[in-house]
Amino acid sequence: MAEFLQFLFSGITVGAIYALVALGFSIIYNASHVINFAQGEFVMIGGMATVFVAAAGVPLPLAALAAIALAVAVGLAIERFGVRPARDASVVTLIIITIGASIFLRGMAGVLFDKNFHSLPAFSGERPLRIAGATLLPQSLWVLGTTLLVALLLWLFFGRTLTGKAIMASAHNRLAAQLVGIDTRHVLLLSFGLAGALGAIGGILIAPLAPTHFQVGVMLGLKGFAAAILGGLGSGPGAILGGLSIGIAEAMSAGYLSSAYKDAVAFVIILLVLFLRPSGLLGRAAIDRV
Amino acid sequence: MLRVERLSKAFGGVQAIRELSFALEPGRIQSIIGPNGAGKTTLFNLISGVLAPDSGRIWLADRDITGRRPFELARVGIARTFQNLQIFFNMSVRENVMLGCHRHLERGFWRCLVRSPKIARSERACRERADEILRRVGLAGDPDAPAESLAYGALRRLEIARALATEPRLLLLDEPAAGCNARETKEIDALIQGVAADGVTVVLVEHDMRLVMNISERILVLDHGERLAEGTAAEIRANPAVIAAYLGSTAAGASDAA
Amino acid sequence: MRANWRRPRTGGLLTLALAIALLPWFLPNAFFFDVAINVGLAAIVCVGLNLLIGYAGQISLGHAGFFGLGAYCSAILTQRYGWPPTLALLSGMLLVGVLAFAVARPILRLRGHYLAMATLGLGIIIAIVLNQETALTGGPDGMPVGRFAVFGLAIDGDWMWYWLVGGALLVTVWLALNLIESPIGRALRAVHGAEIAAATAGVDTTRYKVLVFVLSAVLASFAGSLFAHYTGFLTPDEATFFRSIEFVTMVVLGGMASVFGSVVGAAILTALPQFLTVFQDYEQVVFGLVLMLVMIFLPRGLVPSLLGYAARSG
Repeated sequence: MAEFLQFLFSGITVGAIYALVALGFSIIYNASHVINFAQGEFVMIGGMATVFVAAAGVPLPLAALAAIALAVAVGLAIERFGVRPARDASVVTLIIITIGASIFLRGMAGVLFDKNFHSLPAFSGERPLRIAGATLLPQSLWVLGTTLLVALLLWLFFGRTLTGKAIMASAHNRLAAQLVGIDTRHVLLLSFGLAGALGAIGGILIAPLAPTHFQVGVMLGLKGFAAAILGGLGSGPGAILGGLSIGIAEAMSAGYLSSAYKDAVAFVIILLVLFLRPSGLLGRAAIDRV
Repeated sequence: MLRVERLSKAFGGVQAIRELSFALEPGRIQSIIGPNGAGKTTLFNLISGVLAPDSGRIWLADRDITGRRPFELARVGIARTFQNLQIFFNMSVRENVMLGCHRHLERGFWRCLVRSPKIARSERACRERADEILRRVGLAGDPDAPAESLAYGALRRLEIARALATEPRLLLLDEPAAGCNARETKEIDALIQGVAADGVTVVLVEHDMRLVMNISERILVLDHGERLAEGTAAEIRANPAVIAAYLGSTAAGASDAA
Repeated sequence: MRANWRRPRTGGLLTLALAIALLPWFLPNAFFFDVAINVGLAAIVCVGLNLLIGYAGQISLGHAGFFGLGAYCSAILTQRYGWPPTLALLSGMLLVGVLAFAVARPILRLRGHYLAMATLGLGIIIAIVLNQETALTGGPDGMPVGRFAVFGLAIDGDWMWYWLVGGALLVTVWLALNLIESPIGRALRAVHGAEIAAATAGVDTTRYKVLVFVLSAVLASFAGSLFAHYTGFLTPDEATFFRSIEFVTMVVLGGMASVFGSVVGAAILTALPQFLTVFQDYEQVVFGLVLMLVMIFLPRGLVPSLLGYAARSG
């Protein structure tokens, strides 16, 4: 039982990060039907930038905010310079553009930061808590708590505020949204910026638990994308459900089956989802209009 | 030629086609009309295999074709055009039509891979046939020109040319005169009559009432996915239910042109 | 306006053949031969991949998986089981062909991002398996591979490898051109142009998509096998996501729907990093920029854009 709980805790913790990444994917997808393959790099920027800014003497909380701001700026730049010029291009083209952006960002990170592993100090100490025989690090609680808070804020934003609703409207029908006076360019910028912030927050939260590195965004981004598809592209609750599911599935299979194939779990799941139910757990099926 | 029995199709909560039944005579020109949202294009999509019906059956000349896929239906002789032009813009005018010949061509993988003389011969015959059809629809101009260089009305005729290349028994035309001016519509009118004269069963979905009334030997009226009325042009024009549901203001237009 | 629709096919083939025949006399040393041979191998993969991406309009972000599988198949069968290299190569192609066929139908039902993700997932799973099955593959440390031989004739040294790869490339290009100009090629382009219209006109779209997917996978396997024997030492790095993206970049840069474009793209992106080792650290930066800029400003790629420009001004 203790073992099971242990795996569950670690699974939920990393799953929360996947969920944040997946939320970023869903927000951008909702606003523009673009899949931002550079989403994982926002996570990397969050962790790496915090490390380097803090190393320059800035107190940790401010460094974290600076990192988030940087990620937001990068997100805006990707929309403005990468996606907007190719607005009406084919899906394949847009996919390749964002892949190019992610490679570019990784390369820049390797040059501007460095190619080593880095860690952040835990937010509130390292003394593990014991729950029913399993250990839980306080940082995990930070991860879970922050993710839930973020999810709640997003729910309020999209459901209750005018801007949030404008984003949802643009997602459903860009032309109609424009006709009622919503500036869809701002909507797109906003969603990329938001996704950047979400990714960065995830990166900062996980850095004390798993060392950050300029290439860390690759797998995180891909698994976050898998989580978004599992939950249903464009669905917020789906992103969270998908992220947690993949995190837990990974932890369980690493614990009970084989830790060597841990990374493969997310991709096997995603292949199954795509073969059997591409719209995911909570998504809606797409229809081709002829 | 075509028989539809208790066909139904729903999208989410919307019942697009509801227990529809009708039959079409071979070799005639028939039209399907109805207000927007009546389910006309959905019906075409069902007949051409693009969509699968929720229930009901479809027969083509005594052969049950319910639920078959589009390319299979092309091979038994159903061809169609599209409301929102589905031209191959990445190919030339002639190549668009040549694609229509596809099911008649020599196209074994290994033969194509090594460019066997059989393929070359088959391609040549296909080219000639395509040019012939282009001449027939009035697009003989520059067959090597990119398809995107054609005017809108010409593109509609190109789609018909492509459909004719498949050598259909049943031709479904989805709004062939949409967006066309009077002259272009007249050309389409003549083209359709010519095609029917060759023995092809033609079914039109159209909003242009002049064309419909002028050309159709029988008209089927749909409303909200159900059959509202069926008959000759004169009968439909006089049918009060049809007028109430749909013809309304355009009835005046039709009688002006008649 | 007569559009420059088809590159003069014989002209292009002849140019390529001439280039392949004449180039080695100008290569100063072994390093250049190595680059040329690697270009040739990458080009074979790209020509196949282009059929899938450029002509049929699909996408694959996992082709390095097929490349790696072919490579490891050859390596394992020759090293651990003593098979003759040509048989091992053909077996690799068969294995990859069967795998590609098995996953093709469910995968190709997907579109856009879903298709990209599925191919990506497949490629990554293959890479992980190659990495983990250490007993068979040597794991991340890699494994040595013996020499290649065709009907007993051992392929040894730069010149022999150059002619082998050059010849293989020429044949691949010829076959690809034949396919494109055939009814199958037209059907593929129709699937890309307007898939539903192609279907209603009688084209079995699924069958052709599967066909071109399997074909491109088998070509990648073929190139992978040759690569394994050529480099003599194989690591799972050849099957990674990065490698898949490299191949896609070559296709995109050189020109979608342009066979010669794929050769050009492969040449540029294989040779340049070799000669610009000064910029080793910036390699990813440059790569990423190239991808973005080409897709934004020259979405059709180098060769078609240049040809189009020449046609307009010539």
